[in-house]
Amino acid sequence: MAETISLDKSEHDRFHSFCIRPGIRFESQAENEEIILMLRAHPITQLPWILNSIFSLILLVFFDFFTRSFFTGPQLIVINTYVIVFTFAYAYLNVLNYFFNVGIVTNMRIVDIDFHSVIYKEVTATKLDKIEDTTSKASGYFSSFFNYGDLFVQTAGKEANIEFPNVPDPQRATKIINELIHRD
Amino acid sequence: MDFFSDQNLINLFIKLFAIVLGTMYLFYAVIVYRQTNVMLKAIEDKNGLILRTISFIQIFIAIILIILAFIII
Repeated sequence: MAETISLDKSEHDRFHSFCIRPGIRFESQAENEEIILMLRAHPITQLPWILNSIFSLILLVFFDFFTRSFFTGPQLIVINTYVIVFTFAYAYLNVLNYFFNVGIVTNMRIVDIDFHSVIYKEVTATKLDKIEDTTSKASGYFSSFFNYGDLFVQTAGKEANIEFPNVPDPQRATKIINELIHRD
Repeated sequence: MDFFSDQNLINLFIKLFAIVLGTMYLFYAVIVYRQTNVMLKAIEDKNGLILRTISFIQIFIAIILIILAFIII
């Protein structure tokens, strides 16, 4: 017999990237609509921008060391301040991207909220009874090791298909969605 | 002629560069603050205040950067 997943208890996993009953609200949420699952990209997929930020700060130390005889003190202060501030801005933009690009599964529908480069907003939603198939795909060493992958939700008719890329534990997420579909 | 000495030219270059970048950063900070509010309207989270505060602080940092560019060099 297939094991059922408990969806009544709040659970926050992998730096809030896999949350059951996350305790948030979204813009178009109906009054009797409950958020069951919220997905973000797996934290490990954020590694490139974290490394870029650290690398640029390390590079700054070398820059200071090799150019200290060329620039005066105030000039170096200005250059350093700008590099640090711009690195922070780059990192913060990525944090916002990570935080607000979410996939939400409610007791009624699946909602995909995407903010591209913070300024462009895209919200896609589909009702649970319109879902035909949910599949998960994990490919590569990294995704196998850290257990993350893409989740595809195929819908019937004119409803938009939904894709959650790089979500943690896609098999479990698929199982939860299937359980919700068959519950209704 | 002394004005065109190496150090003065570097100063002028860094100052102009810093003012232009500082102004661009100010625009960026204002847009990010506005967008953070839009995003927090789309997804209401208990950590929203922290993000809103950080976005707001960025506007102050941008203003400080521009002032710094004017006075320090």
